[in-house]
Amino acid sequence: MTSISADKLILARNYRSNLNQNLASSFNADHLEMIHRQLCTGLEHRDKKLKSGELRADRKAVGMLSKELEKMTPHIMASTSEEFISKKVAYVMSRVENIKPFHTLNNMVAKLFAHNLAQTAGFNIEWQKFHKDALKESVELAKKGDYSGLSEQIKDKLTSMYKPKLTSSVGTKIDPDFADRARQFQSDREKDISHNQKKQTLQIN
Amino acid sequence: MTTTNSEQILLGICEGREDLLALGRQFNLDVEKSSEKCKNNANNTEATMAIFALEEMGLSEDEKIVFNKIDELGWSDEQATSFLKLMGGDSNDFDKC
Repeated sequence: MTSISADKLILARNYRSNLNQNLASSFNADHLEMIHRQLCTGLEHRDKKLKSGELRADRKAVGMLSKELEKMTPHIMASTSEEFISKKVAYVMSRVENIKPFHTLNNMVAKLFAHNLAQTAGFNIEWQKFHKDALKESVELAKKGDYSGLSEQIKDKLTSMYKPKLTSSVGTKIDPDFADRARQFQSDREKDISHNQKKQTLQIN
Repeated sequence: MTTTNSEQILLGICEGREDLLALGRQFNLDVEKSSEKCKNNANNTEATMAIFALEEMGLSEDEKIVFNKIDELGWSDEQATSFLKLMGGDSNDFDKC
């Protein structure tokens, strides 16, 4: 196994750990820096290149994004509209990729940040369903201000974090005959209604 | 997982490197004593692999094997990081970061 890069594995483990963390009440520049630092944990020997948590971009640009995010996050959290959430997530992801706040790992941070943002609204993004070239193309368009393509792609890949499994529906939990009894009940009720209607018609006549 | 299984997994990863074996055995003992293994979310693993591939830093088959084997051992992130740091190995992928 000579082709193994242990550092890449450390980065991958750090990345995975952060996919279901960082659910904050506000997303801002500090949050971005925290993600970058956490990704670089255990890779201190590469810090000359990685520059853990160190901003490359102008602090003003990052500060502006931070202000936008602080206003936007509560609306994302309160929303159940997949369209609204994907639009905002697409916007934020492309802004981070565009600003490139750090010396390294910017696209990875942007995707992680986008993932965490979608999670605050109760959604995961299924990254495995993206096509590399299509995603790249739509991110490039988004950087120029056209977010529609990226937003559409993200919307298609959102999955609810809290979707109940069909196998654990109320019906199957009560007893296996529940569905049959429910049908019988409905049929009896319809018969009763029909009988009463006929009765009323006869009385009127 | 039994101690024998953990030892087998470790032997597979370490490829005879005594320093790695010693550290790995220590971690296996720690896991055994605490009787609590760290579990990792399979969906998050899949998402991580996908994002790395999208960023042209996809893990090779050998790397995926080691990644999954370490998961099977149930080590904490700190233990896994210490082990991997000792394992070393260079990668040009970091030039793409």
